[in-house]
Amino acid sequence: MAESALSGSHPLDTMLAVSDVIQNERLARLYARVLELDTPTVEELASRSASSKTTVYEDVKHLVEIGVLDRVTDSQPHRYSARRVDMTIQTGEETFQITPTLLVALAQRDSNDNIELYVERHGVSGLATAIEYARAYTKSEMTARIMAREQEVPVLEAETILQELQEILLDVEDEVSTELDIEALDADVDEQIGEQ
Amino acid sequence: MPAHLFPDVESHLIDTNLFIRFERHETIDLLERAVTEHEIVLLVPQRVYDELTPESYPYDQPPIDDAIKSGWVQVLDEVDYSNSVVSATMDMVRQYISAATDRPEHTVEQADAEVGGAAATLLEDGRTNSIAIYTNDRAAFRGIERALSQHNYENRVQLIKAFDFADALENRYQFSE
Repeated sequence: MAESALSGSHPLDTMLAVSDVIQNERLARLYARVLELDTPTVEELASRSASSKTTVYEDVKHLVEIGVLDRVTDSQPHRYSARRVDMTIQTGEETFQITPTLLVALAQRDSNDNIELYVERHGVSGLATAIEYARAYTKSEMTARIMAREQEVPVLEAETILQELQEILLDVEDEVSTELDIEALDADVDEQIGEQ
Repeated sequence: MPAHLFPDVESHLIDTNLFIRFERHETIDLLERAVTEHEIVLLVPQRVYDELTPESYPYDQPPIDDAIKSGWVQVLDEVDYSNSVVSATMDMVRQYISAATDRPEHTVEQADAEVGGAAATLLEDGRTNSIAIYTNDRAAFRGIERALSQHNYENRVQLIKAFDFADALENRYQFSE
């Protein structure tokens, strides 16, 4: 079951579109570059890509068709923006979030050994799960030790991927806060101790 | 950037996340330079050492053994669990980790609080009067700080936020010889 899709499209269409990007690293990298450059032209995208301008053009066209990118201009040269993918997939008891952070992380596989190795060992679903842990970690609501136990990985591996993903999260998701409310935490602990 | 990279304390205690932060950025050599220049030795709790050197791990491990051999990192003895201040500190840290992560307290292991236990052990043994704790784990640090202040060790520990420290150190040392 998939819900909360790209605005205006049927969840199933979104799922198919996003799975296209997940499975194709070149498309994921392109999506990440559009996010990074805000509203680039094909020209600008091609100048930062190892692919030919024709390939970039074809890929952009494809991503617009499947609804992952939007064309935001009426006249040439066209500019494109990345849609904020936000999708929840539920299978049995497990829930996966597909977010721009996941796509950007996948796009960095090539250049980031730690992400590459994590995906090799735990798959894309493992990475999606790690992003949820990293979101909590960024807010001081998760530690590598707890993730390590729950996901049955060494602490070293958990801490490493949490830090890699935190850097991406802070970059991609503007609204993530890193502030910890110490007073609220003190109050929680007092309450906890009081209950014992 | 603060004028002083390292705080003016007697002991410098580091958590796993600090060492991994430098390893990920391939800047362990900068950390070594900064530490040795300031004639500091970074103290590592036993548990942190174990976490940095897992038995079955397919990737490269951080060069903690090299750092120990070179003398700028030192592994601490086991935490003194039988000392009541140490165990109270670790219990408090577990409470904080449990509250912050919204996990039942029994799922937070005693060893998760070992950085706190190590800090308390150093103070109780009389080995030091002041400790800087380099970590990204703000909830655990709050637990350490609060527990120790309840046992007559007020203002003896200070938090050095691991990532901010790493950024500042890298900025200062990256392009200097």
